[in-house]
Amino acid sequence: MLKRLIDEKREIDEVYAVGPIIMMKVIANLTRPYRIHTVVSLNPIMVDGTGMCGSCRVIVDGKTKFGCVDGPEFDGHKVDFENLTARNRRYLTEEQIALKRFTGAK
Amino acid sequence: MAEGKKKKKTKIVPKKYPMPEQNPKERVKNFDEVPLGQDGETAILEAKRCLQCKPSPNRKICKDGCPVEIDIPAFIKQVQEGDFAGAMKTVRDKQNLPAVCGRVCPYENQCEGMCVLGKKNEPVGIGRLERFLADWERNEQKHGKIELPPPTGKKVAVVGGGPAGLTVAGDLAKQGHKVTLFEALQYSGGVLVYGIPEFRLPKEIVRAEVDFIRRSGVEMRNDHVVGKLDTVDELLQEYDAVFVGTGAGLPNWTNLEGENLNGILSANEFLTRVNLMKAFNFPEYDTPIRVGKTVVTLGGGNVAMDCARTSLRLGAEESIILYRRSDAELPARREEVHHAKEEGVRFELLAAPVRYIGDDEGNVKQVEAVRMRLGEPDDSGRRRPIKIEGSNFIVDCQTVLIAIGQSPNPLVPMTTPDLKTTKWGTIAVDAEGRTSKKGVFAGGDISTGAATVILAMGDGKRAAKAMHKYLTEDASWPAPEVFEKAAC
Repeated sequence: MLKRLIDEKREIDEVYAVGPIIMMKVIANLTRPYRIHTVVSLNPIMVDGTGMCGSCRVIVDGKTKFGCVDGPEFDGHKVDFENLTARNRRYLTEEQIALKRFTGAK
Repeated sequence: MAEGKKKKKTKIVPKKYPMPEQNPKERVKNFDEVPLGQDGETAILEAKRCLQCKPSPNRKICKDGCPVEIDIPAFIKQVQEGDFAGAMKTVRDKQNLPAVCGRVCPYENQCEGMCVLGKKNEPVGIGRLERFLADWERNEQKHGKIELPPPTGKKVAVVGGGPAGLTVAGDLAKQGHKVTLFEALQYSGGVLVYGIPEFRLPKEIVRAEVDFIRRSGVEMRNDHVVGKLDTVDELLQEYDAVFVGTGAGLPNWTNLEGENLNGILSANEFLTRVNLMKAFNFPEYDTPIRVGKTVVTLGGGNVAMDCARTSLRLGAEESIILYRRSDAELPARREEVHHAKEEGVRFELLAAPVRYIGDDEGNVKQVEAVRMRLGEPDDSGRRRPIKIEGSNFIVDCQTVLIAIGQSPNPLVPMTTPDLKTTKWGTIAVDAEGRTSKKGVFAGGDISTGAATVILAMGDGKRAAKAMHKYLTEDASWPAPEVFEKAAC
């Protein structure tokens, strides 16, 4: 859809992508060749949410930023999505345990 | 024993009466407090060791070492006489968090460090006496009724519910000002709830102390992040004065290769997950924590000791402290180092990290470190560590905790444009805690840089005094140049 709009040469100044990491990553990759400024809203794992712990650190333009206070919006072309994806998988096992407990599934 | 009333010279008891502690082998398996506290009889005996020195200009005594100026000889005398309620009143006169300070103060450098008896013997156990009194009050007296003073009609906002903010709030409420305390987290206490572990400072005790301050008339607004929800400027429109005590919550990093690998956490993240979010009780509580078989903690302060000891309690088989200087320079309190060693924490001294090595999935698996030697003293007076080239070695580990200090929280300075800061990011203040912005005071780690609970409280005390003066007598404010100099 976005690709079609771009291909139709519609004038697009800015793209906002808010959603799963993989979707934001794909959108950022799509707009990169066209140099359309793309804002992504990141969802790293946060603990206190006040800039105190660094659990939500993300690499943007080679620098470490805190998602909670420096973001959560960042320039999608500068985000290290590989690192974010790996970091967000940190507690996958525990998340599944918690989900099972919550839903009562076996 | 015949103890004649007229007998002038009492026999000196050279050592403190022992403090019962949990056995190290047992305690590494639980989060219960390590020192168990003393009973009233022991407290009276301990108090009787005191020589009741009179203050004199020529020598310093215990109370000269207390940042919040507790009248120590007076309360010890009351304990000698068995008057615990009276003694507690003397303590409370200056001290808003006695059960906390009776546990985590570095007495050895303060009151007990000045104790005259301590010159040739062990000093009087002033810290444990304070702890005993606070515990006695909490258990026996249930704090009693708090008499509230007549209101002054002045409104004060306190930003940050840590040791400095709680002290200011308590002191100003005592004088009849209407205080609202804004705290970002769900519980007030700051580092006392998210940082210091349960086995050193049970959270139930912090809750009781915070509750005492609430019952003194302070309104507490939790989950309220000033700097995000609103600004100091907005608070000034509603309040007659503002105190900023937002602390040193920004973790310092090593900035080495691989630092963002999974399994590398700041001490703040690790301790917040465990202490505030109760991750040790997952899945009863929602926040998880994972520690590997081997945990490496970087740093040598109290926070590093807390991390290393907490790791053992979470099931780590090996907990290693990596510190770049030697044992003598460890900034942690000796008592904490001693407790850590007793519990089996391994100290890898004169060693510094070089880089972190990860596996294919982005988890840390090793730390590469290098041996150090000590050179000439640096600006801090401590001997500077120097790398020994070619001495690199590898430590296998699955968790790395970074406990190399904290910087001032930038949120309030960032959102308050005319609040001058220093080159260290602290808020510039004068001797009374006044900032470059009229009506705004600051204190604790946000103005001093990372320090101790009691120093933050001492800072809070001074600021509260100045704020009371500002609100009731003299609203003058220093010229901006005063802060230009401090800010540089």
